[in-house]
Parts: sequence; C-alpha cells; structure tokens
Amino acid sequence: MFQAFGVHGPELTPVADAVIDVALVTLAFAFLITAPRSTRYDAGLLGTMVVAVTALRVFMQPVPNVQPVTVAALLVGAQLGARRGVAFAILVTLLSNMLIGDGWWTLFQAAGWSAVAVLGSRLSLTKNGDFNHGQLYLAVIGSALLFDVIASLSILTPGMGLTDFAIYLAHGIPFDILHALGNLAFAVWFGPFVYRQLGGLESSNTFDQSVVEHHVING
Amino acid sequence: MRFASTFLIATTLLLLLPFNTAGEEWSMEWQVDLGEGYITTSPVMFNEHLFVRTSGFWTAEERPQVFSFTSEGIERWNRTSITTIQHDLSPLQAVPSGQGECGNWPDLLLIGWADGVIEAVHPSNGSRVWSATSPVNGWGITGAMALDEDHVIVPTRNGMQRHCLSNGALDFSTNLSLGWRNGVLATSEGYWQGDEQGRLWMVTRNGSLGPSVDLGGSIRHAPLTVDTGLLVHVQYPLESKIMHLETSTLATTTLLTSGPSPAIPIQRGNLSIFGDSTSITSVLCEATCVIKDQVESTMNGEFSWAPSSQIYAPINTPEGGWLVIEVDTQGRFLSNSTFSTVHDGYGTAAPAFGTSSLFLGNDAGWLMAHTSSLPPADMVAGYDWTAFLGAMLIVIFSTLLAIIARSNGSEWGLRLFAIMVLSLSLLLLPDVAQQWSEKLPGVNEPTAQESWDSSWPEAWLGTQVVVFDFGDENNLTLGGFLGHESVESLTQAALEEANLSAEIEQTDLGPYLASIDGQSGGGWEYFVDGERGVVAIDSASIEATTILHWRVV
Repeated sequence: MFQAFGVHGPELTPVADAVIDVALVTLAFAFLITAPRSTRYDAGLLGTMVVAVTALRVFMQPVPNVQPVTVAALLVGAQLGARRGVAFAILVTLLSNMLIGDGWWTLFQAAGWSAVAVLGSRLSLTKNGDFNHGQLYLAVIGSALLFDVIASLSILTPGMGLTDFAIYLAHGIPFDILHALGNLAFAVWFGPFVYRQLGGLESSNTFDQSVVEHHVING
Repeated sequence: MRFASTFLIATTLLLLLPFNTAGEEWSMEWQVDLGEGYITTSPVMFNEHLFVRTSGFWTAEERPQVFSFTSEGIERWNRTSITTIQHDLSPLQAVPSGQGECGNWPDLLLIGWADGVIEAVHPSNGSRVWSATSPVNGWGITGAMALDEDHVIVPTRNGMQRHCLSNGALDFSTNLSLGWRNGVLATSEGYWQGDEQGRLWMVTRNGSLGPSVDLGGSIRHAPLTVDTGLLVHVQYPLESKIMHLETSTLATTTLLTSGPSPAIPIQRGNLSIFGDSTSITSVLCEATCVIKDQVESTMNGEFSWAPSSQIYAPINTPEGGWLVIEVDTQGRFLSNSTFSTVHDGYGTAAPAFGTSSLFLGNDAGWLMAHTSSLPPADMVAGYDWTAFLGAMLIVIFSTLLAIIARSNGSEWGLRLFAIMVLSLSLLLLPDVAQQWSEKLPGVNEPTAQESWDSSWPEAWLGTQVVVFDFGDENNLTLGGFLGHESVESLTQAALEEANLSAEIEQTDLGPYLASIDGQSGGGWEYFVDGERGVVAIDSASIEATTILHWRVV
C-alpha cells in the first residue's frame, strides 16, 4: 500500500490513494444521509459552502497556514450539526486536495476538520438571543490547535517516538499561532455573517443589526 | 484626547528610532592568554573566524604559534613553527579563494615565518596547502606581504620573492639588501620595498630591478602610494622623517621631522596617518601633501580603522591601552580617548573588527574580544529604510484604525486590528519560524556529511564539496569547487561537473530541487555542514569550505 515514508508520512500508491478518497466520499455521504432531513435550500446552501470554501482554500494556499476551512467547519458544525459538519469537512478536504495535492495527509486533514466540526456542534454561539462573539473567538483559536495536532499525526512513521513527535509539534508552534490568528481574522470579519446565512438567529432582533443591514442593503 | 495622546506618543517614539546615535560601548566578551610570546601583529578576521600569531625571541622549548578561534573564543586549531626562534613580525595575510593564470586557489591564510618559511594554510583547519622557503640571515621574513592578482609578493630578509597563490611556485627572487619589518607595496608600476640602509627599491613584475633611491636611515614598513608619488616614514637614530617621493623623478621632500621609531602607517583615500614615539600625524594629499593634524602619543606599531571611521592605535608604553581618534575626511583629529582593558601594557598590534566585535592583542600575549551593543557603522550607514517605512505604515494604519473605531464603534476597529495583526504575523513568520526551529532539537535527523572524509582527495581540502546521496549508500561526491556563494550555485556547478540532469521547480518560496538524474523520491533535501537547510536554495548562503549534502527523501 505504501511506497515509502517521506517527509509528509507514507508515500501512497495510486490505488491506495484512490481507496482512501473513495472511503472518505462514502463516509461523507453516509453522514449526510444519516443527518436529520433538510430542505433543498439547506442542501443547496451546504453544497455552495463546500464549493466556496474549497475555492477559498485553494486561493489562499500560498499564504502559510491561514486556513479558512477551520472557521467554516466550526460554523457549519455549530449551525447544521455534527453530521453535516463532518460531511462538509470531508468534502472540502477531498475537493481542495485534488487541486493542491492529495495523499496520506488528506485522511488526517479530513479527520482534523471533522473534529473541529464536531467541536462546533457542541458550541452554543447564541446567548439570550445575542451572538456570542467571545465564545466564537475562543473556539476558533482552540480549533486551530486541535486541527494542527490531528493533521500532524500524518507524519508518524515506524520508529518515530513520542518525544520526536512532540519535538515536531513544537517546531510547528509559530505556524499554529498563525493558524489561530488567521482563524480569528476570519471569525471577526465573517463569523456572524456566515453563521446567520447558515440559518440561525432568524428570531433574534438584537443580533448585530448593523452588520445585517449593511450586508443586506449592499448585497 | 486619548487618541491625540496616543498618536503623539507613537509619533514621538517613531521619530526617535533612526536618530539613535549614542556612542559606541564595548563590553569584554572573552579573553585568552596565548602563553609565552607577544602578540605583535594584528589579529585577522576572515570568514567570521579569528586568526592571530604569537612572536618572540625563543630560547627554551616554546615556539611561535598561529591560532584560529571562533568569534566566541573557542580555539579551532593552532600551528607551531618548531624552527623559528626570532620575532615573527610579518602580519598574517588572508586571501579569499580565486583563480588566475597560474591556477585556482581556495581560501588561504598566508604566514611568513622568521625562519624564512612561507606557508599557505587552509583557514578552516590549518592544514598546509603549500610552502616555500626564503633566505635567512639571522632571521627571515618579518615584513608585510602584498597581493597582486594571483600572486603574493614576499619581503625576504635580503630581497623580494613572488609566488603563485595556487601552488606556491616561485616566479622570481630578487636580491636587494637586508631588511627588517619592511613590507612590500604593489603598484601599477611594480613593487616597492625599503631596507635597513634606507634605500627604497622598485622591482618590476618580471623581477628585474627598477629605480631606487637612498633616503638614509631605515625603512621599516611598506610605502604608501598617493596620487603624487609615495609616502615613506624613514627611521633615523633619534628622529624620523615623513617623506614624499616623486616616483618619476625620484625627487624627495621632507614633510615632517618627528620622533623616533615610526609606526606602520595607514591610509584611507587621500588621508594617511603616521605614528612614532612622540606623536600621531595626519597627512592629506591632494595636489600636494600637507600635514593636517597631530596628537601626542607613543605609537610604534600598527593602526587600524574601526568601522565607525575611528583610528585605533596601540599605545606602546607600560600603561598601554589603545588611542581611539575620531578623524574627519580632511585629516582633522576631532577627539581622542584611550580604550583601556584589564591587561593594558606595551603593545604594537592593531585591533581587528568583526561585525560588532573588537579583538585586541598585546605584548603580554592576551587576546581579548569585546562586543558592541550598537549596530556596526556600515549597517547604520546602509540603514534599511524598509523597516522604517513599515513602521510608518503601521502607525498610519493604527491611526486610521483608532479614528474608525472612535467614529463607528468597535466592530470595524477590531476587524482592521485583526487584519493588521495577521499581516504582521505573516511578515514575521519566516524569521520567527527559523529562529524558533534553530533553538529546538531536530526530529529524526538523518545523518548528513558534516565534516571532512579522510577518503576524499587532499586537493579538496579548503574547497567546497557536494555529496549527492541517492540512498542505499549510493553516494556521488564531488569537490574542489571554489567561490560559490549559494546552495543553488554550488549545486548547479556540481550537477554540471557530474553531467547529471536535475529538475528545479520555481515555487512561491523560491527554487525547489525536485529531482536529480530522474530520481525524485519523496523530494530532495539539503544539509550545509550537517545542518538541514531551512530556506530556498537561492537564499541559502554557504562558506568557502562548505560541505553540501543533498539527500533524497
């Protein structure tokens, strides 16, 4: 199955690569099917989010470790639930990696963003009808670290001890911090808007009215 | 009000940044006692390493040595002459690698010994590249050598020799007269050298004798060349004379009669500085040469220019120390002060300067390193305005942010702040990540060739060596490369020599070596002297004696 062990973990044969991709697609559809029934609007919105975030990730690939997918997965998980969040995370990872580089790491990136989506589903981003900015900011910082640790598991090779892995993680700390700062920037700029677009807070009269008006009027 | 105060403070702080011109403060970093003998000639900084020699009149078992230290004071190697017993006053001469009609040479350290031996050694390890001999009459070489393209001109005890830098082959040996501490000057006309009888000789490039002039006294340094001729500080029993020589007519003019025991003069542009047992004198040569300024001192050794354009002169008295003179381009001595150390005493060796370091040696054999907390003068002169403009942009951006936040509530302020922090982080990331990684141990570091392999040819010593490691102990090693300054350049040269094809991809981070000879594996990584490369190959600088190891992943 593996050709060799490289700097990003095992080098996959083309067949192994395809098997992993098919397994991930199957898993994504399994999560979508088992999720609570949704309207065509919801399905369309989720599909649009997958395509838009995939494009954004590819577009932002030259910028080191600024990952719009993390915030998106968190918000999708928070608004549409864990199953749709995990499906979203897997599909975005698969599609974007087809364009920027597929391999063993796809499995771990998908797992990382799925974990973020699950974390999002456990959050309550509204409090007394108001959007809880503070919780979102804390969550996006935490999800950066969560994703980076899970995605880093891809480099584990036979003979690599826990100490070596810890050193590897330590080397990545500046990049983890950058990931967290990128997440914060996305959350500050687009967090409430995306959350609202995903269907929540319709009943809230107090939610960030200026932002809503701004986007609706200018949209 | 709060905004106005913040803006005022930020602007004031910003304006203070480029105008910090506090005086240079040196602090002692390390010191080494080199044992018996004096340090009579200046330490030499070359390739960020320090080289220094000891000298003396040796009667017991001790002998003169040449040492190499890291800039942190760790001894790298030392070399002893067991046959030298007289004072070694010939300054060490560092020669960067190069090539010429008589061949190629690696970085060299040239040593002229008082037993007449001339040695060229590898600065990296002190091993000998070539050696030659010269006549001995009581002593051998005591003066400063001169470089002339691919040759070195050596002032011997009774004349002058010229050797090829690549292999030490003798071009010519010309008999003059007995000399001591008499350096050579190479000019477009030929080579000038004085002797103990006060005669200044000219030797042409083919080794034949040119004109000579008798100045009386003794000439114990290389003359200085100026637009109007030569300047020579001639020693007499009780005094000295700074003389101008018109080289076409051999007419001489005495510019100044001063104290005895002249120092080795130094020059920068039209300005020349002379010293003796009574004073230090500046001479400015334009249409004519004129004395510009004088300060009292006892200076019989070598001068050096500090990067900040000050002159450092060892004071040759029991109290010692170094006279530091601020001099302007017109030769005026603006100020002077004494730089003292814990080991002050007699001294003739000029200091050497590193990027922000000062290395001093004295007759007591103490080698001392001082460091400055201020940036070196050349860095200040070449101030990088990019950082200043960046700081200006940050202040402007912050000011806008404050205005927006004040007028539209905190939301837009927070948004702009987030973008600013992210942008700054992205700019800082490469440096921060590199510094951070250097402080951490490596992960499963593969072994890379970091030191000399005894199976390699001797001819590769002191050159650049490349190892292509295809795995399974299938290595291709090439050496003897000279003068490459980046990993990319050295790699290309090695690939060409080995007739190997390579695929180099251009990425946003720089060129990336994707495959060699069709082998791409999981990628190629490089190590410079055993250290994993962390930047693109065109940005990775290398030293003159680098071992570059390419390894397929």
